[in-house]
Amino acid sequence: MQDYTRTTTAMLDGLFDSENSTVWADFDRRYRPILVGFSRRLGLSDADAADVAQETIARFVTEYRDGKYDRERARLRSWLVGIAKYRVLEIQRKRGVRKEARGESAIFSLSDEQTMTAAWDEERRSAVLRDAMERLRTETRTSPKTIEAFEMLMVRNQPVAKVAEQLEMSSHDVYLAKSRVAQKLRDIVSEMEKVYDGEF
Amino acid sequence: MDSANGQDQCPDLSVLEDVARGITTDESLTRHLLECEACRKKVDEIASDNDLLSEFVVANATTFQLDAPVGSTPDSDIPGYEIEGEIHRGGQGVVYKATQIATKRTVAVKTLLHGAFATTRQRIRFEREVELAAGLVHPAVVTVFESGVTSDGRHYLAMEYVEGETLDVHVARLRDELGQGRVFVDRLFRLFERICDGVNYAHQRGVIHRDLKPSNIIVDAEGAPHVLDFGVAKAVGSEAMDEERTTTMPGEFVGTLAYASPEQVLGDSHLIDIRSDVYALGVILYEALTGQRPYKLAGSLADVVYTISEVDPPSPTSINPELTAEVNAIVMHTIRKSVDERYQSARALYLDLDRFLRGVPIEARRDNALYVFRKNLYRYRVPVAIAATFVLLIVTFAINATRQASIERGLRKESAARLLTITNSLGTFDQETSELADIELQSLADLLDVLDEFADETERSDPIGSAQLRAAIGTAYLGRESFEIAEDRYRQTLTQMRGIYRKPHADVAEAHHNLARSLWKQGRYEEAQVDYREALRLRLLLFGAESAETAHTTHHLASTLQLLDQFDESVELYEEAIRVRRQILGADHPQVANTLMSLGGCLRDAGHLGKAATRLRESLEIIRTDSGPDDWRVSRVEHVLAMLYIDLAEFDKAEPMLDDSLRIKRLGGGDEDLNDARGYYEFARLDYMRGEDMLSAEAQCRRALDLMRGPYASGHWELAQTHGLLSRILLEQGRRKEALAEAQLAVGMSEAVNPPNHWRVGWERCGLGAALAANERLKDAWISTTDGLEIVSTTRPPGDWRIRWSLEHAIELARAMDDAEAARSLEIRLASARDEAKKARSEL
Repeated sequence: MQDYTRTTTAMLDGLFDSENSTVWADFDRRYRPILVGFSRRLGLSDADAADVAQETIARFVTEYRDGKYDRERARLRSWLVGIAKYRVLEIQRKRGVRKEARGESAIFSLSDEQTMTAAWDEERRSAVLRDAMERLRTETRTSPKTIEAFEMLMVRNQPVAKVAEQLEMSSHDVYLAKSRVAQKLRDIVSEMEKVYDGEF
Repeated sequence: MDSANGQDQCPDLSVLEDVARGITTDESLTRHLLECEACRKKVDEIASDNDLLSEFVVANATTFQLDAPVGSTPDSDIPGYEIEGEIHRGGQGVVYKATQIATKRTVAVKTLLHGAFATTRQRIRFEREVELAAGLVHPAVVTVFESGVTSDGRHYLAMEYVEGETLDVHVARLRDELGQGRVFVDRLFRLFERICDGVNYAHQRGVIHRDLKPSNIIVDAEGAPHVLDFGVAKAVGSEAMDEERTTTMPGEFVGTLAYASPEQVLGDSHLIDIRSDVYALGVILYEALTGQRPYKLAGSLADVVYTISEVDPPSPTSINPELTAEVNAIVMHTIRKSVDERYQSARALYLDLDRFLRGVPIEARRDNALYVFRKNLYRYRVPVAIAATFVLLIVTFAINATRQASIERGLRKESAARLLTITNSLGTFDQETSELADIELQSLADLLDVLDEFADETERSDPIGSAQLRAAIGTAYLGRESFEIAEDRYRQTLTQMRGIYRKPHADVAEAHHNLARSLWKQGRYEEAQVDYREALRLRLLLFGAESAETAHTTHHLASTLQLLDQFDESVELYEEAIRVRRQILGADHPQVANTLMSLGGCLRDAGHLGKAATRLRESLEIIRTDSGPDDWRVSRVEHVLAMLYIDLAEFDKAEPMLDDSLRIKRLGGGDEDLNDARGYYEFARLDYMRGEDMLSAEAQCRRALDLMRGPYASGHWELAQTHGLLSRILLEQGRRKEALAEAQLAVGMSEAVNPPNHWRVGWERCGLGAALAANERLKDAWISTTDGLEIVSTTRPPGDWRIRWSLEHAIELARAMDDAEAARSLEIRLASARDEAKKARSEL
């Protein structure tokens, strides 16, 4: 999980110092998952998406240290999207015309700026949500039973009566557990999202 | 109710959960929620919790899957399928290539993420939609085989496995190979025909796609298209705009918004139907032809919605100049913002693509012309008066066109050019208007519809202009021989004007005059008389006796009275109109000739054949001097003169007149109309009375009937009279059964359209009597004949040939009935009638 104590702005300031490997690692943790998800949305396989994320971060760090990235001129998000898009196109060109069956329709046109940004934002949100879940389990004093009630109910789509029976709770308490989880997650997410201040 | 009691009655949390998920609609519960704010708040909280948690579930799907006991290899996940590999991983889930174990066929299995359905209702909807989609079997539709639940509780869909490339990739390759001109367009249209065919097939089975886009269409190695995910969009709720998603639009939908129709982005879910799919096909077509989407969607959601629902896209030709105006029209017609203006089905789009490929005129272009026209009316707020002027221009052409139909084509171009001039003169020229210059208004009727609508909508803002426009529309319909519609428009005009003008006004007088004309044209002379008299009263009041307007109405009233057999007053009014016209226009003015011609006809009807002939020749001379031998009025006078000669059995004089009359009518070419019908009728009568060639008489008569049936669909004395003549001709050929049928038709119609005891009714009764006699129904024949004869002999001038005809047949019948006495008395009357005829002929 990434470090949610440093804002993106603080992180970018630290990146100038090549010795500061903690910042580099933080930046990588924050943006790699987003880049992987983003590239997958553009139709890449998991392996290709991982490559794109790797190359994009490496390239960004180089460019940043060379002073090519000007925070006044471009948002971090657009800058990263720009690099990633270029990599994706390169891979697609290398593969030639893709011949594959599609049972899925989530392919975006690379020239659509609006769509690109939206895809990025969603991936970022997903990353936050995943981390939030993790944090709920490890960092808060939420009882395992409460979390389990939530998972059975919402994730496995099990009927409330069954959940109640298995966990030896009343239906009312199962719902209360769910509501508690929701409230905790909401708080965690809003706190975590504050760190992305430099992106917009 | 005190608060303690209120809380006692508050439902359990589980019940509120159901409310929040929308799976209960208990009435008492609803009542409680209306009263209890605490419960309402709780329901809102639950709904908002569920939204957030669903989002979590989707985002953490992979994590949760890893946690699942089965592990990451999905092989055993999907019962009945053997997974061969992953094809795609995306926002909604993962797609695998698999073999269905039972059938051994290769399929694509799409698994949906956990939490794809936030509510039970959504899950039920999914299952129902899949069931519908599973019924679709068409070469251009990817067939869904079944749906089910994996062992760890995820939903999946098994569908036909298609290998190929997505449409956008395919099109990009076509463009590389073929350029973007006609060859490319042809290939693309052929491909789209097949897509339309598949989409139409699904529509006919009640399945709307709702999320058509290039990535949902796979083109295989043979170039055949396959549309994916039919019904899935609605089922999974991933259509660009679901009713529940309009307020908060997650980014994932933005990508598909480019293909969403205005009604979809506006959340008008009740408007979403097959035409929303048509719209998406249009956007796909637009993008394929130009390489660009119609809109650059940017900014906030509100901006995007505004752009899609309000902004006009640039025309495809402006991006790809190799496209023709027709291609342009097809694409633009497909992506019209109003559902009603689009192609109404994928089939309709298919047909136009097909027309284009066959080089036949397309439908879209026709509508486009009207659309542009309508748009210009509104956009430039063309003053209604100018619109009215425009209609009058059309009317002029329309009326000419009924005589000279060959110019109809020219008329359409001309009309368009005129509108262009009008909008130009208002300083409102733009690119779109310029398209009008080369459009052809396919049908005047369509144009009049648009103008009708315009008159309706401007009624409040510009009542006078609107009334004038309506009057002009009425005149246009009159010119097109749509008399009832014309009447309706004139009546509306009159109602409107009565509300506007309190005192006598020239416009009101004109409206009465026009209404009377439309009634006259329908043969409703009694009613016409009333309005003509009112118009005349007003015009006398406003303009005095010595005015062109007054003379005009006087002339028309005279012609109405003539047809009501009020010959004395009719002659008097004609004489008055001639006097005034001579005085203000000059003795030899064509309008004087017009009235002389009508007076001649009236005198003929009144039995003053000699006087009639004099007036007619006088008229003919003026017209020939003024307008030359080919003028249409020459034809009219010759026609009346010919009628007169036929009445007098002067067939050799009648024939050349009739020939020349018809020659002039035919000069204009084009479709034949009522005037031609009248010519054929007289030819038939000539042949019949001459008694030489009944087959020719029959042919001419039938030709006249064919031409009359349309405009006289609701009956007319001319039509009745023509049936009557046909009956007599058939009788002469011994075809008595057919003759009887025609005679019965003639009498029935004649009684319906003429006043009781009108001579025309009597005349047809005599005809029926003869037909009955031939069919050996002597008693019926006698009643019909004597009734008819009574009327004809008292209402027709004594020299009229009809009296002689009726007497001759009555005598024959009396003899057949062995009534010698009756026969003898009829013979005496016949002798006297023959004397009268001789006298009339000598008057010439």
